[in-house]
Amino acid sequence: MAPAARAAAPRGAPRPPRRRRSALPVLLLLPASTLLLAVLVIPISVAIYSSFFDINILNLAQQTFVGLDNYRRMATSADFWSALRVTAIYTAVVVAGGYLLGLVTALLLHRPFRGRGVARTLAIMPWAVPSVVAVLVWTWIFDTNYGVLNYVLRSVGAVSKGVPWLEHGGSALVAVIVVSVWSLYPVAVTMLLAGLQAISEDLYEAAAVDGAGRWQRFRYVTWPGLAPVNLVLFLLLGLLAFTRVVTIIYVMTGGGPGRATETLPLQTYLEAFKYRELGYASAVGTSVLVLALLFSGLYLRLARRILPEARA
Amino acid sequence: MSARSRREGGVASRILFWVALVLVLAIVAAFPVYWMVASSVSSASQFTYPPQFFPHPLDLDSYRDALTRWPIGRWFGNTLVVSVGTTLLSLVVSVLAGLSVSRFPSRIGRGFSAFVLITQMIPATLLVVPMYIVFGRLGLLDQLWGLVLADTAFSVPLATWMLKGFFDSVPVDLEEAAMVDGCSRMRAFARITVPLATPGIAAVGVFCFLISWGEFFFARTLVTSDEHWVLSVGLNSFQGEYVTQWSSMLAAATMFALPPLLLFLFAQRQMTSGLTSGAVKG
Amino acid sequence: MTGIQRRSVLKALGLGAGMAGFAGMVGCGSDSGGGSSDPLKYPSWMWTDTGVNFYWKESVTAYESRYPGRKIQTESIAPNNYADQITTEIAGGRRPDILPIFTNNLFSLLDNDLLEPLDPYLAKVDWVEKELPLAKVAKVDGKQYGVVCTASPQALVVNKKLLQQAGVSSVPTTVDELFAAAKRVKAKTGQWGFAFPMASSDVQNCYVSSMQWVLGYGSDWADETSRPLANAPKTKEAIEMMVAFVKSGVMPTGMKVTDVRTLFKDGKVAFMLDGPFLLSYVKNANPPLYPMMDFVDPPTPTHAAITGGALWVMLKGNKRNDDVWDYIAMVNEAEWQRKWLEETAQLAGQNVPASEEFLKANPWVANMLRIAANYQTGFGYAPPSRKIATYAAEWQKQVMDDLIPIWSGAKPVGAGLDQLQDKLEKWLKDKKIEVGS
Repeated sequence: MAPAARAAAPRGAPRPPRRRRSALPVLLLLPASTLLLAVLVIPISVAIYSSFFDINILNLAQQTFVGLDNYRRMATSADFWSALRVTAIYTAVVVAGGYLLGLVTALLLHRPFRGRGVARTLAIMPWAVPSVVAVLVWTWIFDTNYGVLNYVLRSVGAVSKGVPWLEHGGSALVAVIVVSVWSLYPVAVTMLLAGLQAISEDLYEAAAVDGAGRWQRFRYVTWPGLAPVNLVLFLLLGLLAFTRVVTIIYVMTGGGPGRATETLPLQTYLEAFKYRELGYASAVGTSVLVLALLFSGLYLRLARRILPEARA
Repeated sequence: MSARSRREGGVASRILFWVALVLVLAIVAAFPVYWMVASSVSSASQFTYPPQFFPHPLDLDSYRDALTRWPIGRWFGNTLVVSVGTTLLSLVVSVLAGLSVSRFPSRIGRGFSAFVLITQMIPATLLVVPMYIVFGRLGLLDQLWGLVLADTAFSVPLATWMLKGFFDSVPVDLEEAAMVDGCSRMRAFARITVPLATPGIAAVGVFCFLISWGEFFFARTLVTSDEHWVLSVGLNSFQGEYVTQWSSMLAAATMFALPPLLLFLFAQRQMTSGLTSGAVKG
Repeated sequence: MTGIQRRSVLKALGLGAGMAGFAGMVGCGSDSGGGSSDPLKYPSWMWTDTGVNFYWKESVTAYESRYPGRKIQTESIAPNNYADQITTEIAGGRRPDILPIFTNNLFSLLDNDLLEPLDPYLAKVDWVEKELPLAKVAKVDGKQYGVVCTASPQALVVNKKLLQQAGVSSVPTTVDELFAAAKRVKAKTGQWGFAFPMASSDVQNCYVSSMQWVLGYGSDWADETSRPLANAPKTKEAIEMMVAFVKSGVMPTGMKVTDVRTLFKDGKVAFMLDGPFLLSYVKNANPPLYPMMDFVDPPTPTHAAITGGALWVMLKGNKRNDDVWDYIAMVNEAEWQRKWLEETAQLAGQNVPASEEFLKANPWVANMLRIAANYQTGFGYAPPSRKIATYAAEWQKQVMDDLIPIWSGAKPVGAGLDQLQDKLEKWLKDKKIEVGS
């Protein structure tokens, strides 16, 4: 990093090497790195390490090395594949739903109008509601006999008697997805609003001059203009839905009925605590991590090919 | 908007716009919050059918009950300590890291960004037990500071990424001008870059506050004794072994959700405009 | 290094040192062992329940004044998190001292060699024979590992006011009578005739309500030899009856047990199979309804009264166990036992007679004592097989994963129970539990 000084020095002349390389960049990263290392990386390494053992959570001292047994068991377990399927459906729908809802809201909020501040606050509000509270209220809204949702559906004649939302697998998954989308879509709104504001008005003017209609303006100006934001947003939503959102499902359905809403992260938790199989649970959890890494890697590679000018 | 596009708009699309807006915002976003607040001041039981949309008469008994029978004040205090602590610590750590990644693009910087991205992929449930054990060894269990550290670790990655965006939008020339005048790099950061990025930093601060205010999973595991409970854990305890005290629980839930909502109300302009730079600059 | 860089290094080091320092400071003040001046850790799920928590709080105050210098630090854990949390604490080395547990937590702790046999302590007291039958569950290989904390039987709780309004003249004594009465209540008053929990987030309570029927018809989910009985004829009969109730519309469906009890307290349910805590709850939260309530034998063929129970245990090798025993001994004194029965209307760990006036004011308690003497079963909310009971929480979940869809009509009873039987047999094989031993 300091070639200039050395190149200028005449050969043979004794000259102390001038170190241009500052330690500052590394030092600035030190607190963050230390924190993340201590609080996240070390425990995760312990977890991944334990996935190769058979450990009863109540008796940590007794660990038997089993190599890849936990992984073999996982690969042949019907519950694992079912949880993988549920996780895939859940993640895909939450990301799609959150994004679409976020996009519609952002488009609506983009143009200035009276009361926009209030509207914007209302739109982003779900994000500020703690998840424990959100689940509480939504579970009640979905209640078969006393919930508001069934009341509304019955009043407008959409159904003849209350839908047993949380009692049947399919509808329970829908309910859990709805709550997750409600919680997460403000993230999309915020980022898309920002992205929309960054698209220059001139582009819209030019398109209008060329006779472009509303849909064409969206397709040729708005959508490409949002590309850098979309790139990050999809990844962010995907990761949040895939690895983080456990509280909602755990408190709302506990993974049921009949494991219909049991995602892989939740299964990790249940295996460790309900079934006390810490080693196996770590294997399931590690596979979540690996899957997340794989998909993110693929996603970024694909995205870079499509949008060379956008960086993550 | 040009005259042409305004003409293209027309009355029909205006109405559609407003209808869509009302639908999306009021019902989708705000209804559950309204429902929670309305039910907490309603004298009707939670299990009445048909549900009462407009509580009448208003009844504040549930608030009185919640405040006298449960140590909500204590929970509030604890949560405040954790959230403020997390916010301050996260900001300090992330500002430093964000400065580095923004001003010194290098392999190390990119490595750090990749490292941070990877930490986002860690499922929380995999982390719980080993974190409990590691914290136990460090004597951080059942201490609010332990929770602060955990929550900080959760918010630092995104916070750093967002702050990088804000710092990117502050022109480097200003720092370099200061350095020419004899300032050290760090001094230039402190005197120029950071102050100019204040709105963004405030936005990130609110973000960190929100994350730690509502966090439940780790709060429940890492902080167990009664006097250290935070609001999320306290709220969960209303579901007893025998019965759930619904009305008091809703009152407590409303009080729990209020501070972040208020904070959000005041800071939302900052956040959206602040996050503008962050998002767009990537 | 130039001055600039040196200063930056120092600043960064300072920050790093500061962080390490405060982590260290924080670390210094605590160790996970129990020094004799440290408070005794006392977790429980009962600290927040208003029907019983006052009793435990008084016991802590009494203990601290009886033994000055000893302090107790209570820890509230929500009941559905209780086993998880205790597991986490033991795993992480922060073991509780005074430890009440649900019966079905006993075997997992025992099998991991975590429990101290209590016989030397029990030899010093005189109330051992008075203990309820539940104590036998905690006697393993001739050693006693638990003292009964509370063991209330569940039975038929009746809202007689609704019966009157519906014109139902007598309290049902058979299932058919119950069904008819429930339908009549629904038809005549519009209120629910019957209720049991069905929410998938409430596994244990759903399992318990299934036990009331399955044991009530003379079967169980598995027998003492660990043989699963999911598709045994009597099990099928019981489940078919439960499904009939669900389908008939007399029940609110998909609810958690806490919400069902709230409905009952609001006077919206006529019959429920539940425990005496429901009556205490109504006494506190809806006093006018209390005199109209009754607690009678479950109308099922065997009148099985499911009893979960809680036990006091001590962790092996805990340095404070003598102090812990002093607490257990204290709450087992006759005065405290009677106080528990009369103030919380739940069965104490010992067979204590209630006073005349108490029985007059609460006539149903005499029923409860009789039911407990004759029909108590289902201890620990798990099958009578010791090996399965070790995995009680997991067993319950395995059953409920299949049973809730059967209840809600997503699976037919016959095929659903056959599937469950296969699944349980496979599960036992995976766990290497030998059937029929």
